[in-house]
Amino acid sequence: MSASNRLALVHLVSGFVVWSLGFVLLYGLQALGCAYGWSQHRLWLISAFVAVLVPLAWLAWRPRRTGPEASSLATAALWVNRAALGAAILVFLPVTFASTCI
Amino acid sequence: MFKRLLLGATPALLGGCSGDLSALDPAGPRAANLATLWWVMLIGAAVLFGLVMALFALAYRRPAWITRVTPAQWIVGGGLVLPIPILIVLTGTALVLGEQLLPKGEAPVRVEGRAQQWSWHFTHPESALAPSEILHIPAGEPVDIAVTSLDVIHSLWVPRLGGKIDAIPGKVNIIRLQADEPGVYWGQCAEYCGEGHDGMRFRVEAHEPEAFAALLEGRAP
Repeated sequence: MSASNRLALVHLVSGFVVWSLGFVLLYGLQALGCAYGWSQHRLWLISAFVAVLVPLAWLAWRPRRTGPEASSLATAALWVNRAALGAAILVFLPVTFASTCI
Repeated sequence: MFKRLLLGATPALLGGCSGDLSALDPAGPRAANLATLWWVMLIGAAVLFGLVMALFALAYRRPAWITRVTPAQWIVGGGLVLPIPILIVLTGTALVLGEQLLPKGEAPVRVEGRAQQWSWHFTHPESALAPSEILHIPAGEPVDIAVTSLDVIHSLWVPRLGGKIDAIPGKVNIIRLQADEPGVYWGQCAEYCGEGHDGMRFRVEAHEPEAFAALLEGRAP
């Protein structure tokens, strides 16, 4: 496998790896904040949400080679990463407004 | 033959829609929310299934129509245009209905529920009512139940009145239930807790508010 394809393969999985790390992070912060009664609980959740969106946005729009030399793997990686960004916005957005603790 | 099959299957399909432990036969606003969510999800799944089956049938009956669609159109249509609105509607419905289930503020009545293999004990603090295996609640009013466990993890669930909540040793979880009408409802432990789990049922009696007040004061209603 060529070096550029290896890199494209890494990019292919990066978006949803970041998404799953973000999911675990937000889940953990939500539970810990409720258990310990954090006063700035919402702020922590929103900060984590933004922190997860930054690498995902970079992956979705990073500078890349275009044109005929771009491999299909690289194109797939780009669109998978855009899907990961969309999934993060849709699934994680409620941490900014939904009830946190009962 | 097909008609007979369909007729035969209908009672089996609808058999689970009623009964003492049916979440599809709600008797209160919180259970109604959960039943609505279930129906929205069923309809969403049915619409997607129907569309996919229609395309599948077209592929057999009118292959020329299907070959006119380019691979890019399949990916954008089937992967984005079709599922995204359905997922947004499902997520939005779950969020709105789920938020309404939460016990926000203080409910007029608070009951303590303790689980122990394989029964529940309910007490009404500051009342003359003795601890009981029956959960007494007023009809037409939200009731908070502070749930805990004395041994393993159990889960309190009255399918016709609301959602379920885990009973965890050393922790108190609160669930809000509501019955629209006086009557008898049934609950079931919803977390496997040992060999007696399936028999860990409990009775819920919803009373008229005056009768409930009398019950709490130890007067005969």
